[in-house]
Parts: sequence; structure tokens; C-alpha cells
Amino acid sequence: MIDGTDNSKALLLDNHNTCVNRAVCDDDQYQSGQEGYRSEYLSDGGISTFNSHFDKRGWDLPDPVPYVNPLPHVMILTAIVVGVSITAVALALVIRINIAYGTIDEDEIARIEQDS
Amino acid sequence: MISVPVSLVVVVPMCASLLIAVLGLTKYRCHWHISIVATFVSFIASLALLYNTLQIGRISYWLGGWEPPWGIEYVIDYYSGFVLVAITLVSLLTTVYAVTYVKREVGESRDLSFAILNMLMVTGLHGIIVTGDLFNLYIFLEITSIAAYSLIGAGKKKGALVASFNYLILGTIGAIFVLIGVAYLYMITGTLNMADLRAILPVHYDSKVVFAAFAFITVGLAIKFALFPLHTWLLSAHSLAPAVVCSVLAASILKVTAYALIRVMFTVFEAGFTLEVIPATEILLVMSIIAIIVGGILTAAQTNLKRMLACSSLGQMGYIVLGVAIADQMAITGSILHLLNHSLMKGGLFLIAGAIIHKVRIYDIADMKGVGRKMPLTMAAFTIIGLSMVGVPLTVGFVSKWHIAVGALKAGMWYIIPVIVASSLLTVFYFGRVIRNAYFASEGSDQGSSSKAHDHAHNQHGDRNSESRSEAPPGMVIPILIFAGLCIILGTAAFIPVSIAEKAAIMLLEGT
Repeated sequence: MIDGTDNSKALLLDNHNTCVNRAVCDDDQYQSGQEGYRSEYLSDGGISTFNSHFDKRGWDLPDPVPYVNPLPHVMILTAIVVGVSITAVALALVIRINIAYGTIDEDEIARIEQDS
Repeated sequence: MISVPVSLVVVVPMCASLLIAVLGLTKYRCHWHISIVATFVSFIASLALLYNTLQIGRISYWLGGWEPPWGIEYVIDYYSGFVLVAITLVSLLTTVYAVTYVKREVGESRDLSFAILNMLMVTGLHGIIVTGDLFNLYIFLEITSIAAYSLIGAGKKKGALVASFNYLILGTIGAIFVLIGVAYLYMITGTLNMADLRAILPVHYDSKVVFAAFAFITVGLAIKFALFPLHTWLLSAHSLAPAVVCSVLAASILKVTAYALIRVMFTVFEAGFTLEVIPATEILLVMSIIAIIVGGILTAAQTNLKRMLACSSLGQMGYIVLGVAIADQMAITGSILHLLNHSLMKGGLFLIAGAIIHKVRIYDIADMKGVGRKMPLTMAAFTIIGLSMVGVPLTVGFVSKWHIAVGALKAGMWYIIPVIVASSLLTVFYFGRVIRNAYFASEGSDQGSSSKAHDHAHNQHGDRNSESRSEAPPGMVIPILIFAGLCIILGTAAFIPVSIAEKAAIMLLEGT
């Protein structure tokens, strides 16, 4: 869990026994209407009740229902796909390097480059 | 007001790449026709979008009809509209050049895959500019980069593979930094939309998470556009790739990532945060001054033409960051202008290097003797763009350097002026060396004494003239001449780009 804020944080357990990570700020700049539920992006991506957007806009909504914020999952999944593609390109390059130089040893490639 | 959806500039190249791939399975090959049509449509659309923005202000396009904080938003304002026109133009011209170049230099067998990857790269480049969503920006950054890694490796030179691999490793580190920064911003605000972030972030400006996010995104993007100490991948990647790829790398990818950094500094964060809360601009100021000086000295030491051009990007990117770091309205105008101007100059120069290598197989500056006589049009374009790089009045290079210098004086930073002058002198040195070799150096000792008489004889006998002249094919020369022509036209009629860039700078600084 990465957190560098000075703001205090309360970990609340609601009726459904789901962990809700709520950012409560005692900062006077921070208006009460703006407090929101954080969606954890890197740590747990866990169950939250409401997105900060709904609170922020002061919408009159029915009782909070626990749901899993899909956005962090979508983003991590996309990042994984990007990572896989990069790995694929990198491995393809390594194969081509091996064909071109006959080695994948970095020092040896540098030596071949210097000789030519 | 012309009704053009913003998504056109992204969707058209993306569909073109898929279409090329599907049609590639059949025997009927028309990949370059599709590529040119797609980039041309993007260019026309970007002109229409810029025109609309100048008429009515910020244009917001909701992707899939979802309202911005939830859905992805594409935004055209003065800043993105201006840069979009520059980048779509470079995409169009490099694609036209690639039609002839790739068949002859890269090989018939890689023709089709080159066209597909080129279109994907163009998709990413255009996407980075129009997107108003931070995560979407990361995705487009990676689409561009993955296509670029593959294209660099497409060259015939062995070294290009190693260069591409090094670029891949460093580029991925940069991208992950950007991703972590975006993640931190999402953690603390619960939104990814740039306009929404701008509205929510101010209450968190004292938070260390926001500082970390800003630092990660800045360093990540700085790796991607090779700000001085993070430039190690640039030299080999930009010099060993096929010339047309070098052109896109230097003219578009560096520009677009620098564009993204300015976007994050002034649109996602407010100017007040970037300039006052954290000393980001002071650090960037030092970095950019070192980049300009060291870049100039490194460039002067190069003997290979393409490597020299790659190296000079270092100092030129320094100029763009310098303008932003000065943070005067005039200097930021200069930076935004330099995004366009350096695209035109470096895009053109790499295409010229490609034409010279294609026609006379000359790689080193020392061997360029007599090229001016063999390829008069190409070398004339080189001379014009070289003068523009130096910053001679009536060329685009002068306009942006002037704005940055005046901005520095307005901000009371007199010590910037000697830096700009010194770098211009270094530019005179290294471009002068090429031009002197191409035009004035004798080809051999026996012909040297009578070079003038030789010239005269050429003029008298048309048949001998045509024998020694060997210009590259028109498909390669025309894009080069357009680049060189624009360097003069936009340098003379400078009020057109300047007026738009000025509006963009005011918008960035004042946030309206």
C-alpha cells in the first residue's frame, strides 16, 4: 500500500464485512462534500462502495451497495497486455540479434561491432 | 465551422493498418495507397479541427458518447490543434517518402509489414495529441513505441537490432514510470480525465503522492524524449534505423512526448503548481542548458551524417524544454513553435540523409565531396534546413529561437542568451562542415584545381550534366522539398504559427 499523504485514513468495515478504504481528510482546505472512497490501483483493487465521482457531484443516490470498481482491473489488464506485447517484441529482437551476430552476449556483440 | 469528429485522426490510421493487414493476405497489394489516403485524411481533418478550434475554442469529443469523467475524452484546443497539424503533416510526408524508400532500401519482403507498423505508429502519435485521458495517453505512448521498436529493427544494419533492443528496455522503463505516475494520480483522485484531475488535484497539492506522481511522469516522459542525461538510447537508435524511421522518430515521437510533458505540467497540474509549489522548472532549466551545450559539442564531434543529425536532436529538445522551464509566456510560445519547427527541420534532414545514402552510398561527412553537384535539389534543401537549424532570419529556426531568447530576457534570465548564441555557433560549425564538403571541397586532387572550370563545362554541355547528376526519385525528393519549402514559408509568414502558438501559451499558463 503506497501512501504518502499526511491525511489520516480510516479503515472501515461495513455490514457486508467488506473492507472499504476511505480517505477522510482533516485538512481544512478539503470540503466535506469532497471526501471519497479510494479505489486502490496498485494494492488490492478491492471492494468499495462508491466512486469519488458520485460523492463529489453531490448526487442523491440510494444506499451504497458494495461493488468492485472495475477500472483498476481494466487498467492493470491493459498494462499486462502492453507488457506481453513488449516482451514479444523484445524476444523477437533477441532472436534476430542471435541470428545476426551468432551470440547474445553483450560483450561479444560490442567486440564484433568494434572489429567491423 | 466544419463538422469533423476528432476521433477521425486516430480511427482512420488504425483502420488503415488493419485493412492493410487483411488485404495483405490476398494477392492484391495496395498498402501504400491506403497509407497515403489515411495520412492525408488525418492531415485534412487536423486542419479542419484547428480551424474549428480557432473559431469556437476547445472542442471535446466523447468517445462512445460517454460523458467525460467516466468515458474517454478527446480534446482539441489551441495547443493540441497546433501540434496535431504539425505531426499529421510529418506523418503524411514521411509516408509518401516511404513508398519509394522502403521498396529500395528496406526490401520488398518487409514492405507490407513496414506499412502496417507505420500506420500503427501514426495512430499512436495522433492519439497522444488528441487524448484528454491520462491512461489513454499511456496506451497510445506504448502503441507508438512498440511500432517504433519493430521499425528500427527493420533496417539492414546489424547494429539497428541492438539499438532497437536498448531503446526498448529504456523506453519501457520510461513507460512504466509514466504508468506509476498515472496510478498515483488515480489513487488520490479516483479519476483519469485530465480536465477532471485539474479540478480535483489542487486540494492535494501538498500531498507527497502528487509530488511522486509528478516526478514519475516527468522522468518517464523525459526518457522517451531523451532529455540530456537520459539520452543514451537515442544516438544509435536514431542513426542506425532506416532513414524514414529516423525521420519519424526525431520529428514525431520526440515531439509528441515533449508535447505530453507540457500537457501534464500545465493542463493536468496547474501552472502555479509546476512553477511554484515544486522546483520542477528550475531542475528542467539546468538540464536543458546542459542538453543544449553538451548536445552541441557531441554533435560537432560526430563524423557520420545520420549520427550527427541524431545527436543534434539532443540540443534541439533542450530548446523545447528550456522554453518551458523559463516559463515566460513568450518563451513557452517559442517552445510550442519549436515543436513544429524542429519537426519540419529534423524530419526533412533525415529524409535528405536517406536520399544521399540511397543514391551515392555516402555515410560519412568527410566523404560528401561533390554531393552538391550530384544532387543539387537535395543539397539545396539541406542548406536551407541547415540555415534554419542555425537560426538565420526568414527561416523557422529563427522564429522559435527569437521567442525563447526574448522570453528569457523578459524573465530576467540573461544567462540564457550566451547559451543560445554558443549553441547557434556550434550549429554553424557542424552544418557548415557538411555544406562546405558537399559544395566546395574538391572531389580529388587532380580535379580540385579546376573545379570552377569543371562547373562551367557542365553548364555548357547538357549531356555531361545529366550524366553526373543523380537526384533521388521524385517520390523521395518531393517530400524533402516540401519540408525545406515550409521552413522558408513558415519562417517568412511567421505570424500564422506564432499567433496560434501564442494563444496556446496563454491557454497553458492561464488555464482558460
